[in-house]
Amino acid sequence: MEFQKLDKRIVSAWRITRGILLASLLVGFAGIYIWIRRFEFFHDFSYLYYGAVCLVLVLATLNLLVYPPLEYIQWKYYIDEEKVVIKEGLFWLKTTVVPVIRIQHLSTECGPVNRKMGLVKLRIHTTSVPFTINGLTEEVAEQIAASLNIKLYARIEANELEEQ
Amino acid sequence: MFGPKRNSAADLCISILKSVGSVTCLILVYILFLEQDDITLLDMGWILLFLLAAPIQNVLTYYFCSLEVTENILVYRSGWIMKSVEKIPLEKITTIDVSQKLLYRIFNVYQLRIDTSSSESKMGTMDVTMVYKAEVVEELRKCIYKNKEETNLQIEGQLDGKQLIEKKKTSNEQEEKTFRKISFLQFFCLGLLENKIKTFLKALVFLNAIYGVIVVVFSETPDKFLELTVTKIEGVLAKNLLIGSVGMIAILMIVLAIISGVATVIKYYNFNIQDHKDKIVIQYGLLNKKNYSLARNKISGVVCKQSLMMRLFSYYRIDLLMIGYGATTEKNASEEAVLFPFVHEKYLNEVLQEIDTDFQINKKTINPQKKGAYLTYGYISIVIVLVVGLGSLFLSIMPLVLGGIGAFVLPLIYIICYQRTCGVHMSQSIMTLYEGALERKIKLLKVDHIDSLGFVSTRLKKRLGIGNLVVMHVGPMLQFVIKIENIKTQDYEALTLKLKY
Repeated sequence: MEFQKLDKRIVSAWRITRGILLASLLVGFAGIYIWIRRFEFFHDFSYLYYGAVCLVLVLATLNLLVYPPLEYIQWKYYIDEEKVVIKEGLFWLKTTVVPVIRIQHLSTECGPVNRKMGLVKLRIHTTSVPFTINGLTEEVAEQIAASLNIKLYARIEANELEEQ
Repeated sequence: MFGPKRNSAADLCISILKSVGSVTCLILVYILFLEQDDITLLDMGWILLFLLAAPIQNVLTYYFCSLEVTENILVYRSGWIMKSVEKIPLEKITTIDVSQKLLYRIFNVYQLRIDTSSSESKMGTMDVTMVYKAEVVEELRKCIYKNKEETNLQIEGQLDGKQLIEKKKTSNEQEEKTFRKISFLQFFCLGLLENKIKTFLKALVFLNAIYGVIVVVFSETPDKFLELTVTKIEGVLAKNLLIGSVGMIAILMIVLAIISGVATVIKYYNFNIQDHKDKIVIQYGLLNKKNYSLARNKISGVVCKQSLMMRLFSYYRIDLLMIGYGATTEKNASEEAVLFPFVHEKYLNEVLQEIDTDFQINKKTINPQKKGAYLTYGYISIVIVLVVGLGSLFLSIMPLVLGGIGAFVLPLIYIICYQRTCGVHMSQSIMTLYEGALERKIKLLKVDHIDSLGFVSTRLKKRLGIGNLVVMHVGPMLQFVIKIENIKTQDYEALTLKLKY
């Protein structure tokens, strides 16, 4: 099974998105600090606030700098005539197999950051939950969607013939 | 053909009574918390507006809500501000559920719920709920099934007159074939053997409330009453702490078991399953009457459950997995999808095969878990034991020492039981999942209803060659996920090969 990797630009896209999140967290914490320091009780328990802020900031920084390349290494996908296999995860490594015949429809999405980087997110919808392949170039996503559609119709026709 | 028909007028009366009642309660609370002089003319105006608005809203809802069955489509119209028309093809209907709550019994009407396997609504199923008299419900049900059969016949191909008559004859012969019966005594036993923890907690809350009422009734001497009760309990416990407390719990459990037995008999009163050609009809209930029509081809699996006590006596309870039966929304999450509430292990396969010939349980086929899997559970217990044990030794507190031992022994028992029970097996058409530690669940899923298979493992588990299996399955709320821990990697790979592509 030869797995395909995501486009390398997704690492930068993840970093930009998480950088924005970190910046908004900093602004939020600063705002809370300005508002809450007026109250007297805050001075008695300020160490709790600083502790929580430090913990969240450390995790957010790890999420910004360390995790994206590691996640990129884990992220793989494989598509053939019968199934779509997705491998992902950071600490918990997850492998998902979706039979082509179970696909209901396909959709593509892209947020402002992904759009700027020329990347899209392909969503594979089944009856239960959608599965996502992130960080594909528009051409690759279109190719996958088109080929999956062809495979899906081929499988449906083959199954109908079998039933007859 | 049916309708278009509005809800029964009794439903309008009930909903008006309900809304006027709740508005009146709110107003009473409002008045009680205010002094009489504080109620102004404006307040009176608001009260009057609320009192009138609720029934008007009920009348408008009643007027604009209707149900119609045309040749092969069910049309449901609702809403008076945002009007909506939902058209449901008859072959998409999975269940027709008829129930009669206590209030509906007074007016002799039935609540009818029609479920489809549509993913249009947020919760995965599209619900149509109407209230009709018994004869109207029967007419509607017949109309739906007649039209469904005709559509199926059209699909099956052109049959000549003789073939059609023969087909109808055989279908009539197959109608109303009753499954094996369950006696009152068996239901009483089921009540005794079911899990009591929830009932135990409920009883404690109930007893607390009763105690509160008694204290209020004897409000002149509440302290004395409290003192008397505490002294009595202390008297029992003082004689022998262990025997006293165990005895009290035992008495409470026995009383609960008897109550549970009686409640189960009332709940499943006149339980009856009819095996029709392409549907199963389930009826039961004394106070709340239930009547379900389940399309056989929409059944995606079954769950055989055992509480600890049921396991000791080798009894099972069989539930169905199908869209629209049981808990279809988070609101009614406690609603059960029962198919057969009490069956002995030796008849289990027999009953399962009456639902579908492919359903069969063979415990010998379970793939045992790897012994190394113990390691993956162990570290949490070790951390707890170290923290509690060291803490208790440091502080020399007896309850903490006992807690430490408990924290080690209980998870260990759970892990050993879980390891012995869990496993997975897949045949050509059915996937069988065994799970649970003390309470057991055996899930049989039709392979062609499985949406995807997932395998999650940490680095430690990956090294040990194990991981958690995640099965996405078409179930009651569409998103039905089953997780089985510590399955061998090669077993997962074998399962993926057997999945229907």
